[in-house]
Amino acid sequence: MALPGKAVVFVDLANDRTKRMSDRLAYLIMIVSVPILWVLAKLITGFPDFLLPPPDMVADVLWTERELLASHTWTTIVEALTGYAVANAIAIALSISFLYLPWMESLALPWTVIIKNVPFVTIASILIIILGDTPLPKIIIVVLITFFPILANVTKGLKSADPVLLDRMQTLDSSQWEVFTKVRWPSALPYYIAAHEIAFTGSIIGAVVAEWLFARKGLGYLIVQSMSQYRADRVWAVTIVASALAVGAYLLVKAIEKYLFRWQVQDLT
Amino acid sequence: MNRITVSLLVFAALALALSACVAPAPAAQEEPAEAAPMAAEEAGEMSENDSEAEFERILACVEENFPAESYFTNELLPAASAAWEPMECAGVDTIKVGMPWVLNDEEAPWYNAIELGYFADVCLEVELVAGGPGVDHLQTLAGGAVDIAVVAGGSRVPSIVSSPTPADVVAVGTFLKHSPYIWLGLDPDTPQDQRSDKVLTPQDFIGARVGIQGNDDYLFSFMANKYGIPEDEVELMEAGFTPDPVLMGAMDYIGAWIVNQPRLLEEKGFMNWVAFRFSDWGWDGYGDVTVVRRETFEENPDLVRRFLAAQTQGLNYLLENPDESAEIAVVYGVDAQLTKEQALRRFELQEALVVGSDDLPVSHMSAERWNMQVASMVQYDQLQLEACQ
Amino acid sequence: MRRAELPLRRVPSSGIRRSASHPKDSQLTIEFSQVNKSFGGIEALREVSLTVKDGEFITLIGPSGCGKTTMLRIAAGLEEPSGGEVRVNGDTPKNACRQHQVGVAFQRPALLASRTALRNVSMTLEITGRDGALSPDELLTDFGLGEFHHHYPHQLSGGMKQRVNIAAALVHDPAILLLDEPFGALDELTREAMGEWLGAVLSRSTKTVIFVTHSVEEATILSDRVVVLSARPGRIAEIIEVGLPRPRSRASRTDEDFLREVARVRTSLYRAVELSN
Ligand SMILES: Nc1ncnc2c1ncn2[C@@H]1O[C@H](COP(=O)(O)OP(=O)(O)OP(=O)(O)O)[C@@H](O)[C@H]1O
Ligand SMILES: [Mg+2]
Repeated sequence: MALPGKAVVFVDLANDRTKRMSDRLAYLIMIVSVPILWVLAKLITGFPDFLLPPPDMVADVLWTERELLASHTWTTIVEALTGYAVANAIAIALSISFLYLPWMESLALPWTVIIKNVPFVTIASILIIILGDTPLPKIIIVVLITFFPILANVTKGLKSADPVLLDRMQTLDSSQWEVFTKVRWPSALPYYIAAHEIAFTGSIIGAVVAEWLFARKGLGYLIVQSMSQYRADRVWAVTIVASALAVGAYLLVKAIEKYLFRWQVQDLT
Repeated sequence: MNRITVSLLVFAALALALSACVAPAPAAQEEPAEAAPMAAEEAGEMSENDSEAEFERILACVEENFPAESYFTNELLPAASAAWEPMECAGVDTIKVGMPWVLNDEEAPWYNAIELGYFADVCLEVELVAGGPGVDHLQTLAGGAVDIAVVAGGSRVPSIVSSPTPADVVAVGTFLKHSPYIWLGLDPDTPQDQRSDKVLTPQDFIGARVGIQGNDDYLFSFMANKYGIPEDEVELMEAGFTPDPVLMGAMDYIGAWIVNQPRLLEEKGFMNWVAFRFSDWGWDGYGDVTVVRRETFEENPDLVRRFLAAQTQGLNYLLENPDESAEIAVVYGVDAQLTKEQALRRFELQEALVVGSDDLPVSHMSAERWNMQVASMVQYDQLQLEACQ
Repeated sequence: MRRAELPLRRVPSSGIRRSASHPKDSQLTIEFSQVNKSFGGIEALREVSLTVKDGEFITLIGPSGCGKTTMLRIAAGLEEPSGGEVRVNGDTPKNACRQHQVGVAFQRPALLASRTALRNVSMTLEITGRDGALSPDELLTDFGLGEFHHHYPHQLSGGMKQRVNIAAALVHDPAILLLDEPFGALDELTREAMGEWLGAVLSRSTKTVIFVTHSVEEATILSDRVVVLSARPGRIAEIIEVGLPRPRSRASRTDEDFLREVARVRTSLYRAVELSN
């Protein structure tokens, strides 16, 4: 009985190792091939520099204007993270209330669907008119963009708790708190992490778009400003920074996932 | 696993380093802002002389390194004396023309040229592509989406030409010879039904709430640099294109054109409007400048010449027949519900800008004016010319 | 046998507590009186009365859908009867749970995927705040899982998982154990071995057990009494006292007495099935 168990795990682990290698290789290939594809695209399309500057020019901007880029990046990161934290707090609080107060779910669901699907540019324009160039409208937009996937996933995750486990907990007369911390939350965790994969990267795009609409700081503003100065090289540099941020956010979530679920690939030898 | 952890740590360290770079950046930005008011306050005359000398140096440098002739020409404009004569058409050229604004009465010369058949007379079929907030027809021109662009802020032309990622375009004529850009507000000390004679200075905007449109903050940035207004002491807000926020008290001033929004205030009974005219304070570019790609200019100068002839004819008609032009404009200006009276008021306000203070015929520009504007822009950080920094 | 040497909780000095004939003085533990249960239009249980004595091993057997699980769930306070009542040690099932007197194991192991075998077992202690006679560590070792304390459920075989599951159900030493087809999903051979293992584990304790199975052999070899239920609505068709001496082992499976008892239970079961149709 013991041996097949071990064998299964071992095979799993081997698979995971090769997979991780190929994952890393894929990122390496991407990083290497972006400039190559870039140069090819320029050759094939013949786009002039003001549409598609050569990669070395953009790399040069990334280096020489690093301080400017860094300070705007920081603004965007702060807005994205703040908004994302708020979105998480709201979404998790709502999911929990849905679990214990089903009427809340019936009441709130239509609203969340509407809020999710109203074109957020409309809301953004109004917010910007009311609140001006403060961090608040950007944070609100990030919240609007990111909270729904978290809400949907965590709600589903909390309900996905194994009924057999819940019954066991009940016969042990455990408190609601214990049921939540020991069964509900661990069951919701994979769903929650899956939500991060979508929403965390979304938070950065959300902040950039909000700044793009109106701001005087942040990557979105830098895009507007660079475009109005006809600095295509800087526009592309900002694009690269924003993409790198999003990829970084994604990898961070992946790493956290790997850490939290490391027990799934634990080495038994 | 371990390697992932290590690369994560590296990433985190990079992020930290990135954020550490933030610290010096604001400090670096604050310096000129702090230094400038000091200079302005302490030794006004001295610094004025200084900045004038600086300006002369830059102007000389601009004339040598980035002369206006490299991006503008008058040579395709019709001679002032030329009589209008329809051409024999072998075929018709269809072109798209990017307009400087939404379709209101600003585009009256082009409406005239369509309505009165001037374009048809020169074998052109013209589609006017509306502009407005968020649309930069200098870019759509460079990208090829339009064939000719009429650019609201002429100063954008040297900007795009001198950019590290430049577009090769040529300004071939102008509608307005002076910048109509203003910051428009109401004078609380003058009764509503009387005209205000208040003169605004840059210092009046410290602590004020100013609404500007999307891409226009380079205009503010210029003034702030030139007069040492700390950038964070003016509360900039996003503005639409009506002066309503000023009436509602949501903003103290709003970015506007002298020929447009003031008449809207007047119509609502607010005669006490007051304007800070950028052209009085060192920002005086051409407005509604007609621009083409250099390739069009070189390969098909005849097309440009014909277009400019019809445009100028429409412009002359506007100057000579404002009444009829206003009637045409309210029909063609589909994006704004304007009355003929409003259009007439605009024409009245804009005539001085069209005719200008030089001795040149309408639509003609001068290298000297262009160079001075560019030098100002270089001096106050709105244009980067490596040779002249 | 190492296991036999280990003293399990509350083992009386005689060594083997269980016997086919029950001591007269044993007090009632679980009492079903006139229990009815309907789910909407479906009548799952009708007029079920059963008294389970202290220390007794009872097996519920019957056609699928006859209400075995429902009976267990009512006894565990997971379900309320529609009529009649169930008393556990003279109290309601819920209160019995509150006093941590009931351990439950279902067909599907109730284990948290993110906890090791050991932590799954100790979770019971964390919740109940009680300690058993054996620590989770000792218990798992006793259950033959010495090497697997730190394995996660997905790294265990079905039989191992079920052993962890049962360990988690009884680590806090409940007087009553409710087992719903714990070996239902296992292959025949494993199932036999597990049945034998369970018999050995429980023979050393004084627990009252209600066990649900579909295997007549399993029922016969483990039980003091087999309760045969008929379906639609679920009623008690017959209660059979298994007249086999303890301890019982794999060897007795080929025993003539055993085969006779199996035949008796099987006959009764067939009758119950017929009754249901
Ligand atoms: N939650 C429920 N809702 C509706 N009906 C139910 C529910 N639980 C059980 N039933 C019905 O009650 C009857 C008895 O079900 P139960 O699960 O107790 O049967 P069982 O004897 O355990 O069957 P099996 O041997 O297949 O496990 C069935 O007809 C079933 O459909
Ligand atoms: Mg069942």
